[in-house]
Amino acid sequence: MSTNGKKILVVDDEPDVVKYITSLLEDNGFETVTACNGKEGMETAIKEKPDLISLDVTMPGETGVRMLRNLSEHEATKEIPVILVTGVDFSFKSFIEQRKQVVPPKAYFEKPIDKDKLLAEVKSLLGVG
Amino acid sequence: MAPYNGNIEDFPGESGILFEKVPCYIAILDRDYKIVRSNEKLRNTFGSCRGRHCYDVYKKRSVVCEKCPTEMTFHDGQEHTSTHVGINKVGDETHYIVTTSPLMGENGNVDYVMEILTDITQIKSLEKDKLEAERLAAVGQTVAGLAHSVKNILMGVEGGMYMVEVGINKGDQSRTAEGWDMLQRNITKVSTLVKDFLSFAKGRKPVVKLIDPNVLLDDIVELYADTASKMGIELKKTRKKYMASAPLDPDAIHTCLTNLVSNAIDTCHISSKDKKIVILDAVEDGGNITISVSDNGSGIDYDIQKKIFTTFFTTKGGNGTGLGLLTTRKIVQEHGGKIEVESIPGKGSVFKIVLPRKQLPVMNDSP
Repeated sequence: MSTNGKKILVVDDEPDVVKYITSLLEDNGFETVTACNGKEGMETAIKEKPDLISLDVTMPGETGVRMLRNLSEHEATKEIPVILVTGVDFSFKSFIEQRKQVVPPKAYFEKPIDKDKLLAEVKSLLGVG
Repeated sequence: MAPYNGNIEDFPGESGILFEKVPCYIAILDRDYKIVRSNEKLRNTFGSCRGRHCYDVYKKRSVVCEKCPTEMTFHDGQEHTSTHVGINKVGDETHYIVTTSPLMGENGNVDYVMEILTDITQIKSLEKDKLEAERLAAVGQTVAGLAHSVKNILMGVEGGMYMVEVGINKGDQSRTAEGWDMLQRNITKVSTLVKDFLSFAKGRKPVVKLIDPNVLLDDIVELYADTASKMGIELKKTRKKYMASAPLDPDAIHTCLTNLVSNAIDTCHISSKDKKIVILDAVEDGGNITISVSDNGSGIDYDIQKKIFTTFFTTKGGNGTGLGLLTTRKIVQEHGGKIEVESIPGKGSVFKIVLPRKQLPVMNDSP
């Protein structure tokens, strides 16, 4: 199955990280849109209706945790799978899984990422590849 | 105060037993600071004392201590209390609180002073342990924060490597160039981080010079006014107020001001106000030199105000190392001062460096 037409939203405050992830995804046939904080990310998610979101946790302004909650509470975005890509270590995984108000993300990647694993995860979540 | 019975050589009956056995140190001193009587616990801790000077017994000194409470009591006939560090008979540090009371003769003169000492060595040692535990906790947070910063930079480095690799494989020059830029940018970031971290961890020996603080403020305005102006921010100094030169480490204070001013510029930059302004000021009042940096930027939430000076904290995502205010506080403390912040979210912040002149470093302490 082709990756054509699958759109991924990349949210990170670090321009180099955004550049890296979007290049990687585009090189593998995905379309990308970007945002640099949780607020902009939420607006873009509603407007662009991406098929998947790659989300950073610690960002100035609205954080990734807040955006994760907003995504799950909004009709237009609650079904979009989310991958957390974060510098926060894995103890955060159990922290966020215990939050009742947040739907746990589909996958976690700790920075720096293993790009082959990230691609494989994206493809499997989107049922492509 | 009722006069003592005139006989300090002998306390009869119960009062004598009480004097000897109470679980604190008691000594009676004459006007030469010689101990004329002492109780058992004092002798057990500090050794034999009769006829010896109190400063010799408690502190192994040869002259009267500074701010001696006994001296004050002889002088004004009032009680005085202060905290001291002495050395016991086996050479260990002994912390104690001493309260001095006058023993007045029939003529109303203070003939003798009674010192009652409470040993607080154990409390001091607990305080020290607590401080050490807090320090270790802070180190833990600092290391975690450092790891987080490094991970973000590493991600940028990997991104750069990826771009270069794809660029070479596809013969795409602009890709390769973009990747190379990413690599350079992130290498610069990691070296800045390491330098900041080292200067924070190691500290540097202060190089103290006599300098008018206004000169330091002028330097900062001259250095950053252009940059600020290009971002639509006015950086200026209030009208100069006369101030005597002070012994400061100019480079270190310069670092503090750079940190505060660059924070102020950053917060103004993200605010949506029409007129953005950062003001530096230096005043001296009541022996305190106060240097302040005010901005009308976005302000700081209360819960964030609480941690900005104590933890490795940044709101600037990957662009902040979280070390600026920590380093600033450390330098200010090395100058015997303190740093304070007042901030109203949405309105702006004032950071104040308060340096009591009498606690500033001493010139001849420096190499």
